[in-house]
Amino acid sequence: MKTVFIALMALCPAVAAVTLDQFVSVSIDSDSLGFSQGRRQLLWSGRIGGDSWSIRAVDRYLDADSGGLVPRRFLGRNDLLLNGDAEFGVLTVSPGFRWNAASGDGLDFVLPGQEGTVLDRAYLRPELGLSVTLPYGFRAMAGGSLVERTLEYHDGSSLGWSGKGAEGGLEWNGPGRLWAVAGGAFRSHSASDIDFETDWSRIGAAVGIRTVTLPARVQIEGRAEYGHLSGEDYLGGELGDRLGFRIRAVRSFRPGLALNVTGYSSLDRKDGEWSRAVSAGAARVVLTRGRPGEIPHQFVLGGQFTSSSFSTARFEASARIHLIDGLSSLLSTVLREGPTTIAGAGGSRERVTLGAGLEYRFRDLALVWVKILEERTELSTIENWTRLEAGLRFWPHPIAF
Amino acid sequence: MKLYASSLGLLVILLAAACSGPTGQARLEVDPCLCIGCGECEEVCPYGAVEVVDGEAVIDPALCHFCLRCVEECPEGAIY
Repeated sequence: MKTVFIALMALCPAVAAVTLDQFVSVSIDSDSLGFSQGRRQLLWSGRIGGDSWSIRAVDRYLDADSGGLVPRRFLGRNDLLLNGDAEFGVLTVSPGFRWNAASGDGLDFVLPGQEGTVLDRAYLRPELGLSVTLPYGFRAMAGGSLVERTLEYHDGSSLGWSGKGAEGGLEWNGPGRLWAVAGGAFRSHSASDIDFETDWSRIGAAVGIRTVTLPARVQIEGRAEYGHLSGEDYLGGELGDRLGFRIRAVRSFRPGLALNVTGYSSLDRKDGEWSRAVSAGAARVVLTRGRPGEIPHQFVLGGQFTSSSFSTARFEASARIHLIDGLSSLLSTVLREGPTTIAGAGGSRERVTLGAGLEYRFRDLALVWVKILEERTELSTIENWTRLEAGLRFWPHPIAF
Repeated sequence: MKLYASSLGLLVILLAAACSGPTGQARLEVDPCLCIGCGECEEVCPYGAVEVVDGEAVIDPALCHFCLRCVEECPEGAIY
């Protein structure tokens, strides 16, 4: 890690103005009203940068108990992400590095081909990206990454698992906020101990329009994309191609009131046959009211649905009501329906979560909150949980050198 | 406004067309507008098929076993 950091620093051209920005977040999500169960997370992120370079680091430490309904691969882990950008004229070099390690033994990683399970101990991914700005709005990009997983059998012997990936493409930013991109990607994974080897590649193109402001305070953006995939899924079947359309529209009715609508629809092509793949739609209304200089009240109402070989639905209503100084009250309701993997729960599961709490903002420096949630979910029997969420977010002022 | 209306019309037609007929879907989709890069999907995938790259979940189609744990656990409903 130290070597990578030194290498990143060496890539940075000398600059006059350097600033350091940081963000810290500590949060606790409990499975009961005590802190002993649930998830505890500490996240720190920082960015140091100058005129033509920047280095970003994110470190997340997570500690969780085993009481979650859906089994996890990590009960505790540390996830470090380090990446940077350095510009040399028209060339931008972007090295990156990710290291994710279980703080305990790690949990089960299911091997392909019914080879059993191993313990997932760590994951390492170095990567490098290059991009070149070309005339007439074109930009060429290329990148590659390596993945090394540390997997161990329950008797302590290790299993070698590695992967590599490469991608490249050409992007065009045209007039009228039009854009287009064409490119390809390749990924492979191999585990020599179990004679497992798989790879797939994708070539595709997408065209779209970035946010365009229309009359009546309407903003719209959309994209269409087609990807041809070579390779096989876990059953040895053809991966197939996918044609997708995505659209997003925002309408501001007046200052502080906006409607956001998104939609996605796609078709798959497999063995020469077209079939519907996924369709999704979502709408969200956000109302913000408040006096200048005060923390505004905010009310959010949203709903989304998806339809594919399974369906999901989500409805959300939340409010932040400013009380006094930096103190606000929080209210939320989330209704969800979707597929479940919980034994005995049937094919789908309904969840209703009601929450109430308080938050306090220390100007633009910090935020602290606590919330009590009541969740009701449908499993083999109706289950109710009372949960506690609490956290602190801290944004130290940027430091200039 | 006309473009807005016709775009919404096109969206409705596409959604209506896509919602009818059988589905051959064998690949999950991550909604880039909804994904917050929290990594919960990565934690619950027992096959190592999900990676968070540049703050967004990416599902490897060759490793995904379509077990739907990530769909169930995603707090934003961003995987479908």
